[in-house]
Amino acid sequence: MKRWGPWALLAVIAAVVLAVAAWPSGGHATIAERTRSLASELRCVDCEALSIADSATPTAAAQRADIEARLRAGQTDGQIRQAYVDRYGPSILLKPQNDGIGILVWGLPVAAFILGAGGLAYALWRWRREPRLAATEADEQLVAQAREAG
Amino acid sequence: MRHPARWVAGGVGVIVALLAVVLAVNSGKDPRADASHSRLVGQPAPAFTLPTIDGKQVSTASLAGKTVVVNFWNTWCQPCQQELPTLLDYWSRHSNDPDLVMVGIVRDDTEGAVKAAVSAEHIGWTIAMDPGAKAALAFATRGQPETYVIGPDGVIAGSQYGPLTVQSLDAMVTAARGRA
Repeated sequence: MKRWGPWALLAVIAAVVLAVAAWPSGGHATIAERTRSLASELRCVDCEALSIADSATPTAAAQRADIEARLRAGQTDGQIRQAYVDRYGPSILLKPQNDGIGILVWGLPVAAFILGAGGLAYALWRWRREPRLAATEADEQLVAQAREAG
Repeated sequence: MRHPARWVAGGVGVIVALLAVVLAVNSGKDPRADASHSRLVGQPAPAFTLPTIDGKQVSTASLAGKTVVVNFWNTWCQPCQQELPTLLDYWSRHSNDPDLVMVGIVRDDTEGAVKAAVSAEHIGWTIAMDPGAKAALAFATRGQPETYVIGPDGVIAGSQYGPLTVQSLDAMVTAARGRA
């Protein structure tokens, strides 16, 4: 039990951290917070490597106002993202979508991590259970001789 | 399963290989390739009502039934300055055409600078300001110059991001008129 205690604790901590990170935080977000969050996911169309949230161009300002107006009109985050994809194409999104090839982009690194972690955990468990080196008779004799000599 | 670790290593290897394939397949593609053409082509033009620099208004309603060249521009944009001779040339040959209208919509500039440029360059077509960039947003523009040609049926027949040539503008206007 003592051997597994730290591992169990680590697993619980990891699960809690993942749950907190993955838990939807939009439930009590204000319109301004949701506007900022959505704007940070969309690429500024008339500047380089900036989101709408971080850009000072008039178009970005108009887009932030548009997002806010859509939220006030009751549109969901998904509907607003889709409206921008319909208007500008998928390249407007700074994060890959979670369908089509986007599933691979999101899913493969996670799968590789889980498999790798699982493999490492299994290897550690096996090395502990089955020592890789066993003393031969000759080894035992050498040790015995050394003790006698000492 | 005599060697589970080998299976795990194999699985990770397969995933890494899949990632490599995805990267290889997409490495030559421009992720912003869809930015070079407008998704509005073939769709009804967005409605707009904008103040012109001569104190009037221009709206889609007032342009109904005509072929409309909508050009987003401003005075500080160098590609717009490169494009201007093409627009001036085109306008000089078509200003008497009652079925063709050219509207320049100014993005991100001051009215004073625009009026000075219009006067200096002898720009004869309608020039409108775009307060709050609402028209730019409705047309999903990505910068300037950007041009849309709307057919008499109100549908966008063509668009171009970047400076026009006489040939490209002619082609879009011809396509728009074909929609009549």
